[in-house]
Amino acid sequence: MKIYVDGKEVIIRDDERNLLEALKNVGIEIPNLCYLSETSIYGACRLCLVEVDGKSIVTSCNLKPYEGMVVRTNTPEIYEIRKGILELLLASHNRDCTTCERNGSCKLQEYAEAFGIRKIRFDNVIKDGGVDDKSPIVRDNTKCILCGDCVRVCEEVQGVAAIDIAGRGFQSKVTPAFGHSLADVECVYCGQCVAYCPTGALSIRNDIDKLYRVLKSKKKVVIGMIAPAVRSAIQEEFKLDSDLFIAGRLNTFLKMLGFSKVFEVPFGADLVAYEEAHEFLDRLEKGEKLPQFTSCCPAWVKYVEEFYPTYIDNLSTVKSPQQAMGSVIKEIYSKEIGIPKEDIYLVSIMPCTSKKFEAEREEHKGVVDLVITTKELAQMIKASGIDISSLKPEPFDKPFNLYSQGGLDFGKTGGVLGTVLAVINHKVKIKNVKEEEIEKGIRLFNVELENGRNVRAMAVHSLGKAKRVLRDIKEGILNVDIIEVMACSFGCIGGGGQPYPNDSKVRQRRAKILSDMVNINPITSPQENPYLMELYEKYLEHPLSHKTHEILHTSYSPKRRVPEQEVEILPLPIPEEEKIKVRICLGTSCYIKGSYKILSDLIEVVRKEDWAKNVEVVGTFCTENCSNAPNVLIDDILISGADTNKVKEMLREYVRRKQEGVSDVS
Amino acid sequence: MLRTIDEAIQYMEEKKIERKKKLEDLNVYVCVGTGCAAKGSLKVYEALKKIFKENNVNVNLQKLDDNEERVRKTGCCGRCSSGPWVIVMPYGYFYSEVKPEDVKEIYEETILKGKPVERLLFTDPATGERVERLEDAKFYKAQSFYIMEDIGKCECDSIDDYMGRGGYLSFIKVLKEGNPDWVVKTIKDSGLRGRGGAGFPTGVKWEITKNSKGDRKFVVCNGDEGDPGAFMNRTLLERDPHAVLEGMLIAAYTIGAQKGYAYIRAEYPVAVEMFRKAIEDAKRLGLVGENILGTGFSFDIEIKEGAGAFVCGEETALLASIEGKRGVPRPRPPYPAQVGLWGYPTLINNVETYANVPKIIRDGAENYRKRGVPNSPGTKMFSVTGPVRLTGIIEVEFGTTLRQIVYDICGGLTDDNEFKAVQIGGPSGACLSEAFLDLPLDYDSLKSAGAMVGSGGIVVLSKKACMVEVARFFLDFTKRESCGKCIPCREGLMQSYRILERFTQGKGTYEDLENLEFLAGLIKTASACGLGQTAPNPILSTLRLFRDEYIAHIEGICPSGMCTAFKKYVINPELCKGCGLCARSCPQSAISGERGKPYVIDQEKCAKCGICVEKCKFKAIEIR
Repeated sequence: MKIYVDGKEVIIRDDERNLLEALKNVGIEIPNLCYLSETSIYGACRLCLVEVDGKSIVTSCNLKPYEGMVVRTNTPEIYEIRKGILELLLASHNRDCTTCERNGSCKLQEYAEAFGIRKIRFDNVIKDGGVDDKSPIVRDNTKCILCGDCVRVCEEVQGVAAIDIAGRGFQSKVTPAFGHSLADVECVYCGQCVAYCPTGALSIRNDIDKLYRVLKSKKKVVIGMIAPAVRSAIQEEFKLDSDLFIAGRLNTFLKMLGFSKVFEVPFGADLVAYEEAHEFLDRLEKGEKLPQFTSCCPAWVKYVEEFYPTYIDNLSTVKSPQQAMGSVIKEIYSKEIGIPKEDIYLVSIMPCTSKKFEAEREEHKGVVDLVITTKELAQMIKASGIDISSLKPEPFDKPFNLYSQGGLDFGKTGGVLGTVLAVINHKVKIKNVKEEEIEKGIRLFNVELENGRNVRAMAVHSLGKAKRVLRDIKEGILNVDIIEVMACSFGCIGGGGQPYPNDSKVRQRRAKILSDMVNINPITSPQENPYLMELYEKYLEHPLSHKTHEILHTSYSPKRRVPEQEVEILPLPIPEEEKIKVRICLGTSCYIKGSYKILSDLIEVVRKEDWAKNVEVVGTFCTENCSNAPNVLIDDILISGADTNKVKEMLREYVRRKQEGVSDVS
Repeated sequence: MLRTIDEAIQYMEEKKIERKKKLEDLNVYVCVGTGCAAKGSLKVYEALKKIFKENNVNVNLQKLDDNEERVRKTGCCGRCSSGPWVIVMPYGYFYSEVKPEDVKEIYEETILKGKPVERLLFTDPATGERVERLEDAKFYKAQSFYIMEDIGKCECDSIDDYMGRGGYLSFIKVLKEGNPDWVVKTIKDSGLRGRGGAGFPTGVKWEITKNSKGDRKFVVCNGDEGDPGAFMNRTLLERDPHAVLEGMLIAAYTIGAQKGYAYIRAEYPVAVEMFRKAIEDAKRLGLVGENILGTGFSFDIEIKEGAGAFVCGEETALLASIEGKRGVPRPRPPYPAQVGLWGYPTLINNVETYANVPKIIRDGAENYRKRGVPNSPGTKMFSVTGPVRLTGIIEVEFGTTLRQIVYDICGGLTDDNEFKAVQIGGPSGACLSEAFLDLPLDYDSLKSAGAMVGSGGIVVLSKKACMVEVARFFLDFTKRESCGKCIPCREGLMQSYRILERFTQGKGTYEDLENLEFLAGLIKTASACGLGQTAPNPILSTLRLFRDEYIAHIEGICPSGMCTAFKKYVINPELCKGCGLCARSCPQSAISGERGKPYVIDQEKCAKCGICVEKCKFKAIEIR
C-alpha cells in the first residue's frame, strides 16, 4: 500500500504488523525503547509517537497502517516530546555509564547521544531496588527503565514468568515474586531477558577477572574449549564479514593469553549425540521414557525440573556437551597427559548464561571451572588491543579437534536432533525423512527407518514453544518419540551470552554463518570421527556401558520450591520439652489432593485432644514426592497418600511409643 | 419465578398497585446509604423497627400482622452531610440528623398523631426556614431528578418496589421487541454519552460491540469510582441497583453477551451488598439466568470487587483486573469492543450510563432528549464538596450553569468564605475561575474550557484556597495512583509534583515554572491512557487562570495564606507581657526571652505549628 511519510510517497507491505515495523522496513527506525517484534505490543515508552493525518499524535507501535495515511515522524513537537521523555528517564537513571556492563551497547545511551542531551532539567531521583547478583544473571533496578521487555520475553517467549512488575507509579519495579533473588526462583537463566534489555538493568555476571587471576598465578594448566555458536557471533563485535576461520583465530588468541590447550566443544557434541542416539534406540526398543528429551540445554533441563517434574525421566541422562567433554578432559585426558585433574583449570567459552549455572550445579561441581560468554571473550580481545582478524588461525589441539558436521550444528536449532539422527542412520539406516513446520519454532520430522519403524522426532526452539509441546503431550494430543529443545529462539546462537544486538534478525544471520561453516566440514556423522571412536575403544568401551554411565551420564531432580522451608502456622508456646513435629506438605500437588484439610484437621486435634498437646503442626513446602501426594512427615517418617485418619492414628501411635520411651519408634 | 413475558408484566402490575398503596399508607423510610449509615442510620432503623413491634399498633390502621413491615430502607437522598435521614409517608415529613434517641418522639408525634417533629425538620439554607417536605426545599426544586427519580420514596433493597415503579418494563419491552438493532438505534438517537468521563457516544459503542464477531461476548459495568470526593456511582448502586442491572441486561441482550461483570470498588461494601442482593432477587424472579422469561436469552452476572487501584477505572486496566492480572492499561486500539475480556468483544460502560438505559427505552429517544442540551442530552449526577452550605449528591440537566449549582442548589458559600474557583472532574479535572460561573455544564463546553465532566466531582474552592497547593494536592494523588507503565505519567508526574512541592515550600523558581509547563504539556500529549492524559489538568488550568499565584510564590508570597512555608510567626513586643507561656509550650523550643520582657521567635527553628498563637493570652503573636 501507499502511504506518505514526511512528505514522501512510500510503498509498504499490506500485511505489516504496525506502522513502526513498516517504517523500519523502509529505512526509518522510529526511536523506541519498549518495542519487540517477538512479543506483544506494550506501548509504554511513548518514544515512537508520530503525527498522523496532520492532527493526532499517536504511538506507531500499535497503529495499523492504512492506504493513503499521512505520517510525519519527526516534527519539532515530536522531537521535543522525545527529548523530554529521555530526560525524564535519565533523571531517575543510574548514570554510572563508564562502569556499566552495557557501556557502548546501551540503547538509552545511544538515544541520549543522538538527542544531544547535555543537561537534564529535572531532579535527580535515585530509584531503590539495589542489585541482585546471586545468580549468573545480574539485575540492577537503578538502571531499569521499566520498558517491560524482559518481563514479556520471560513470560511470552520463554513461558517462564520468573519476573514481573510490582508496585505503582514511581515505586514500580521489575522483581521476582516476593522480592526474592533470581537465584531462589524458577528462573532458568536462559538470559533472554539480558539479550533484550535495552540498558544495563540486566546483565551477565562478568567472570573475566577470575580467569585473569588464574592465568596470573600460573599454578594451573588452563585448558579452554569453544562452543559452536560462539564463532558465528564473535565476528559481529569486530564488524568482520562472515569469517569461516574465526574459530582458529580465537584459538590463537587464547594461546597468546596463556591457555595451554584449546579444544572444540563440537567434539563433545559428537560424543553426546553418539551416546544419546544409543540411549534413544534403547528406550525405543523397550518402549519406555518416551518421548526422549534432549538434555544439552541447561535452561531447558531446569525448565523441566521446575515446571514439569513428572517428565524428568524423559530427559536424556547424557550430560550436555560442556559437562560430558569436561568430564572426559578431567577424568581421562588428564591421565593421558599425566597432569592431576586438580591442576587443570577448565574454561568453557559459551554463548550461554545458563552454562554458568550448569557448571555450578551440585552434580557437576569440579568439572568445568569457569564459563566465559561470547561477550566476555569479545571484551578480553578488545582489552588486549589485538586485531583478531589479523591473527593467523591455528588448529585446535588434538585429540578434541575433530568433529562431524552435526557436532558443529549443535549451535542452532535442529542440530542435536540432526546429529542423533545421523548416528541412527549409521546404525539402522533411515529410508526417508519428511519435515513439517507445525508452527514457527516447532518442526516435526517423520523418520522412516529401513526396518519399517517410524520415528517421530521434533525440534523446538524457545521455551514458550516447548511449553506448548509439553502441554499437548500431557493432554495426549501430540505423540512423538524424541524432542530436541533449545531454550533460546533459533538455538544457542541466540543465547543470552551473545553480543548485542541479539534479536531475531541477527540470529538468522548467525545461523547462516554457522551453516556455511558446517558445510565445509567433510565428516558427516559422529561415527566417522576417528578420535571419538578411539575414545570409546580405549576408555569408554561402548555406548551405554558401565564406564559411560560413570562419566557421561547424570541425574535430575525436581527444583520447584519456595526458599523458606517451613511456615509457622500455630503461635507456638515456649517449648517445655522436645516437641513432635508434624509437617504437612502444602506444595501444589499435595494441596490439590487435600493436604490443607489434613492440616486444619490436625490443628484441631492438637487444640482439643490432650494426648496431642506436645505436637507441633507446621506446613512445609514441596517434599518432592508429588506422585504420592498428600505427604505428611511425623518427625522424619514420611506418610504418603495421607488422610486425616491415617495421620491421626499414626501420630497417636508415635506419641504413645515415644512416651513409653521406645527408642526406635520408626 | 416468572416464566413468560406475560407473567412478568402481570407481576409488575401487581407490584405497582402494592406500591401505590404503600405510599398512601403509613410507612417510614430510613436512608441506609453509606453517608447516613456511617452516621448511625442503621441504629435508627433498628430502633424504629423495635418501636413498631413493641407497640404493635397503628393509629390509623388495624393491628399489624406479625410479618408486616412499616420501616423501610431507602437509598441516598443526596444530602449526606446532614444525615441520617428519615422520611415518614404519607405525610412526606423529612427529618435530618436523626438519632436513635429521637425515635420515640417521632413515633409519638408523627406516627401516632401525624404531626411533624419541628426540631428534626430540615432547615433550608436558602431561606433559613424549616421545611416539612423534601420537595419544598430550594435545593430540591432547583434539581432535575431523573436517574434519582422517587428520591426518598424508593426501597433500595427490594425488587418488588423497583418493579412497582415500572422497573424491568424496559427490559421486558426489549425482549418482546426482539430487535437489537432497534435498541441500538434508540440509544444512538437518544444521544446518550458515556458518564464515566470521556463522553463517548454510548450507542456507537453498543453498535461496534454488537457488530464485532466473537463466540462469546461480555458486558462489563465500570463501578470503580476512584476519584476522591466523587460518590455518584456509589450512591446510584446503593439506592437503585436494579436500574443498573436492568441497563446491563438490555445491553447484554442487544450486543449478544452471555456473561456480565460488575466491577465495584471493594471500598463500597454497601454498594456491593445492594448489587449482590439485586442480582439474587433478579435470579429468583428469573430475570437473570438461563432462558430468561422463556425467550431463550440467557445471561449471568458476577460481581468483581476492585482492589483499590485508581487506574483500574481505566477500561483496559479494569478488564486486566477482572482477568486476574495486574491492573495496567494496554495500548488501544484494539478497543475492548473488538478485543476485550479474554480477547472477546466486550461492552464496558459506567454505572450511571447503564442507569440511563431503562429510562431511554421507557421514555423513547425523543422524550429523553428533552432534558439537557443537544450535544449532551439527559441529566448528570454530580457530587459537590467544599465550603458551600449544602454538600452531597445532586442531579441536574446538562447545560445547568456552575452558578446555579453553587448558589441555587448548594446555597452558596458558607458565611466566612468567598468564591474563588471550582475544581471539576475529579483529580484530573480542571480549576475554573469566577469567569466560568455561567458556563453551561456539558461535555463540549467543559472541554472547550479546558476542563472535563469526568466522573462528576465538583469541589468548590474559596478565596482561602491556594491554587498552587490545590494543584500539588491533586498531583500527589495522581502520581501515587499512576500505574507506572508509561514514562510520561510515571516519571513526569513525579517530577511535576516535586516542582509543585518546591513552589508551596517557597523554593520555586521561574525555571521551575517553565519546566512545569513543559512537563504538563508533555504528559498530556504523550501518556498512554486517560489517567496520564488528564492528570496535568490541575496544573494546566491553574497556570492558565491563576498564573499570578505561581509568580507570587516565586516572589515569596502565598496570596491565600494557605502555604505554611510562607508564614512567619512574630511576637509583637508591644503586646508581649513576657509571661513565657509560649516559650514553654513551643514544641521546637524556638521561643526564648527573659521573664517580663518581650520574647522572640527563632525563625530558623520555628516549625510554624501555631501552638504559640493559641496559647498567648495577649494576642501578641502575629502571622505575617
